[in-house]
Amino acid sequence: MEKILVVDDHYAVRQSFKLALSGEEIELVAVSSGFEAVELIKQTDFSLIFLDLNMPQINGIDTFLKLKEIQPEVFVYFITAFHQDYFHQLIKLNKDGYQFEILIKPINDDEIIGLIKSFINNSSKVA
Amino acid sequence: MYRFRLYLVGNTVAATKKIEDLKKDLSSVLGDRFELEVLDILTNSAQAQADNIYATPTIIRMEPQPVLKVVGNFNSKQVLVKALGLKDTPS
Repeated sequence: MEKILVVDDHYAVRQSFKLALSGEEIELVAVSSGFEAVELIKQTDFSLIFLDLNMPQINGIDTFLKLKEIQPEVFVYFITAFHQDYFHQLIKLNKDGYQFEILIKPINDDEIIGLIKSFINNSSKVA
Repeated sequence: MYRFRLYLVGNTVAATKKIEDLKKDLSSVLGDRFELEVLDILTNSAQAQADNIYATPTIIRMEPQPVLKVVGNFNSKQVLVKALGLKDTPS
């Protein structure tokens, strides 16, 4: 079964993922901080990680760098908004050679399911 | 003529490969009857907002109408043909 990690300090976002994936054959783990995510990824492999860019204590960029140190191949979606400051941070990260994708808030159930299924289906077979 | 717009993140080896793969897949189905515009969402955020992009990668069929979108991992020709409503042989 595919394992997906969601890291977001907003309860509503974590809940959106849980509701969207409730009927699917996907194991979802949702945590509220980058620290929790880093500890988790030391013990578990995830197919896909959705990571909020703007979080207190440890932000999405610093969390991303720590996650990549532990699992360099892990695939990450940054959850963010169309905001110049946020995009400047991501441009710098991309210029440093890091690959990632972007998911723009607000997000709905259909978008979450469609996106995740596209990765799961195309990782092994054609949909 | 088909017109596509592809939104990706930045300029990396992986992004370049995705573009090349997509051109190859489109070309095998459409021959030279397509145009592909590639936009980095990080530096084209206003256009991405106007196109209602919510995730990368996204490919949009701009022409012919209606506009169609495929969001996420679309790295196979079969998925493109199916999802974008393309005919599998050039006409």
